[in-house]
Amino acid sequence: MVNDLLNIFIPHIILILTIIFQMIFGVLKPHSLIFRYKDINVRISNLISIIGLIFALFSEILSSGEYIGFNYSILVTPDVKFLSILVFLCGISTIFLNTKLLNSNRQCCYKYHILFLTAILGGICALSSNDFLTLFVALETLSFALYFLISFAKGYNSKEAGFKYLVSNAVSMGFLLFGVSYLLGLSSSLNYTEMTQIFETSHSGIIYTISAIMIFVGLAMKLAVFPFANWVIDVYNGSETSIIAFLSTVPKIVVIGVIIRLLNGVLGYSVELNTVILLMGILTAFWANIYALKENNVKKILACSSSANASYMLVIMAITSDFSCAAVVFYILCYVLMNIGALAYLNIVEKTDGQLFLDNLGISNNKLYSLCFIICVLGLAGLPVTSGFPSKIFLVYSLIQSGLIFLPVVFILLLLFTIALYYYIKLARAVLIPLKLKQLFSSKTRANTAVELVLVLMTIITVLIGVMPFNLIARSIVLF
Amino acid sequence: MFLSNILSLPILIFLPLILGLVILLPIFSKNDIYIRRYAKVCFVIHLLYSLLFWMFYSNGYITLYAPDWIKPLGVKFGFAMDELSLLMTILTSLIFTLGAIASKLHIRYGQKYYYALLLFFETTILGIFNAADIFTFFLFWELELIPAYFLIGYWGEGANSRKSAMKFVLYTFLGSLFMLVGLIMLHYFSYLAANTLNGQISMYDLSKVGVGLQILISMLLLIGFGVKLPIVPIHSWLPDAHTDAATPISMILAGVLLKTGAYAIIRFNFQILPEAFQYLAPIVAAFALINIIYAALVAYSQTDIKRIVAYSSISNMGLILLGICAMNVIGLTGSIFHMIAHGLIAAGLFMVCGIVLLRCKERDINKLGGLAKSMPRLFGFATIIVLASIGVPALAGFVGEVITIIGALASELSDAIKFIGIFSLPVLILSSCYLLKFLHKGFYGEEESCKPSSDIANHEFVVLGIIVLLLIIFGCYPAAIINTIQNIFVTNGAVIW
Repeated sequence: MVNDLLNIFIPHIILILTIIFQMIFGVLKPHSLIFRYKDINVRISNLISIIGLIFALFSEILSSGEYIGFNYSILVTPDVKFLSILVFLCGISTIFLNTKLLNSNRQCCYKYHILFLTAILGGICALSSNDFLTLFVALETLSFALYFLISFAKGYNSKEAGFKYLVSNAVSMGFLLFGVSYLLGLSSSLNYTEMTQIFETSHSGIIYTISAIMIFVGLAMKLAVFPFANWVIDVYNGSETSIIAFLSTVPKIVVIGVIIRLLNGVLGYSVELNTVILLMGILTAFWANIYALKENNVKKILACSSSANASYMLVIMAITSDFSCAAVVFYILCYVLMNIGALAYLNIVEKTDGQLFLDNLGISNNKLYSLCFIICVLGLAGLPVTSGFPSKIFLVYSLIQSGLIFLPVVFILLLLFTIALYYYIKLARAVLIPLKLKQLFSSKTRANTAVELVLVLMTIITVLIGVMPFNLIARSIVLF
Repeated sequence: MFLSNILSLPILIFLPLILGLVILLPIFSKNDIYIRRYAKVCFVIHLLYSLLFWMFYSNGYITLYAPDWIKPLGVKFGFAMDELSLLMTILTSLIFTLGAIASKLHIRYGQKYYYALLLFFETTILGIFNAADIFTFFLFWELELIPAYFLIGYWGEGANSRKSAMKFVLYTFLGSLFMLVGLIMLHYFSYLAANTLNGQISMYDLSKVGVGLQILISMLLLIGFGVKLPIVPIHSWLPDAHTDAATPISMILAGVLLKTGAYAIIRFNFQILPEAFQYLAPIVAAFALINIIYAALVAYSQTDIKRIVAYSSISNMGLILLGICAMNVIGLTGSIFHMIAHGLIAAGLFMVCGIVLLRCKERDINKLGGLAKSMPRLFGFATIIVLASIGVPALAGFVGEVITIIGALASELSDAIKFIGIFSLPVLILSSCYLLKFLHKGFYGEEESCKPSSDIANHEFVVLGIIVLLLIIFGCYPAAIINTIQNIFVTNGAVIW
């Protein structure tokens, strides 16, 4: 028993230890006068976090099989492990992007890392939670750290964004708790396993349906699903790009993982819920893609794109088929890679005031960076030789497999894919337009090596998955 | 026998891409002339290599790589070549070679990227023509959008070239997504019926799938292919893209890209889903007739020379579609022959337009005139190509048009197709109206605003000379191609043909 518990909790323990290290470091921070580098604080704290995350990642990979802990309140299954690994990888690559953010605020860099690691801790706890109480606490841990991370950048915008995120999250948590309280009244338990056993036999009541929808709405607000999605534009617009890279990947993976688990268990007995998910997914895709059409602000376009991609995944989950969960997991994997790649480029060209418009995207006159950005963005649009292509095929395949009655849904999605292609091409084109202007700035832009590494690595992985998707798709199917 | 051993499909398809990547290396840093010569040599080498495939062709080629490309879906990645693919491959490498030669005066900046993208473009189109698996086909079908977008948008001659490129990409992307649904339905339902996962085009057996479902799949695929062909209600990208692209790109678009649509209809709707296409053929033939008449009328009312040629392409593609809809050996032979003939004619007409455009900086046909005096050699070539397009005997256009219409008249499928065949006959007169107007207003009469200083240059002479020579050869001796086309029916031996 002890061994098993340790097995589950080694990643968590490593994360907590790293947080404690960061706190100690914050107290003892070496003075920049003593050392050669001005940014010694930033470097050391980054290093600590990366080492911690890498250890946590390996312990997550090495622990094998299914684990149950704390009287069924923690359940680790292969898909949870896969998503946790993805969360760690996103965390590591986001740390590589944070140089610009931290260099503007060198004295407080350890605070950033404490909040950052806390958010990741909350994320992996939420993924493995098998209990509404654990889920609530873990999600709050994740969101709580994110409020401050968003406000971390200098300037008024980021504070406003952080506050908006706080308010919208408070509302979403309210929905979630309200739904959970009804379910608690129905089943007198908070544990998924016990609740599933109860609802298997009696699930026809209207209260069950209402509470299921409430819980879903609470979770969906974090994914920015249509009626509750307006926060995403303001929050992304106010955040720094490395924070967007975190915000558009980790909470998304976590919430999608939680929804997969809930739909396959506790909330799986309500047909109405599936209809609601389907409708909300389609409406979100409409809203996000059409909002982005006329938009000039790159961060807002990416906000819409992240919302739209979440909606595609919701549509697959609503229409259940043999492959739907695997398709979702594969889709989110591909999306995360391309998104981080694109944001790494934006991090290079972002100015100090944090505003990014289509006109000033092409400032970097490094052809390699531009090429990588174009590949990532075209991948988000689903064009071939990127991971967007197999994920699109897989998505349509799983939709077709569930029956021809959903053909109209497929057509709506395809129309929206085409609309999305328009603004993705606009992004890709923006990199190339100022060909003549560039010659004015003849010196070659060279970014921080870490950011460069993330950009190039993500592009290479994206292309590799696009060229040879076989192993990953097979693996994502085995998970379920 | 040594030669037949070095013929490998992956090399054929990826050779241009690899040669194109070489251009991007720093060895070609500044010198545009070297880049251009290198690219021309690449295209010529590729043309010779693809001709070798024709010389040593016996039973078709097939190469399957990565049999577990997307394993759970049974999707493979591979190439196969039969006679149809072979002819299209040779047409592709020929038109690309001519396009590369023609680029000399039209492409003034960014040559390095231009030629690299052009070689990449060739790879994608060859991939479409030689795909063995439906998902390989789809991959190249979508991949081709990327080089095409940049080639149309960034080296265009029109003021709106980026807009036109975007329009082209959006149209094709939407169509290809419909096609994706069709392909996945094809794949999934044939799997359900036969219980074996299979993605190979030549191995589909849909005899156990219901006809209604087959018709649905066939319609979805037709939307995707119809955008490329183009079929009239979804054609409006074509005039814009062809007009705004640079001349070599227009040649390639009209000469090769449109043929991918016709090729795909033959491969999928005809070969895999013949039963459903029997029901759809009369309707599609009606669309083909609309294509022929509508595009011809619109072409007559145009004043922009490139737009006239663009609409004439739509009209001719309607004729090709009609030949496919006849669903008999004659019609199909005519279609395939006309695909090649029209590929050459369209490339030639765009080349003529490009030369006029370059010398006169004027594309309004009413402001041109009297070019025959100052450019007699161009006038000679233009006349022969226009006559070929009108369908004057002893030129390739005549053979294609006549066989296609005879095929439609001989169709045993439905009387509707015969009527459509009869109705499409007078339309050939319409085509001579707009093309002779093109010749008349452009080349005859008094010289107006434009007085070109020189006749065509040597490289332009080569391009037009090759096109005219081939048009005459294929017109006088059509058996050169038709023998190969006839073999398609022998080797494939499908139900209908």
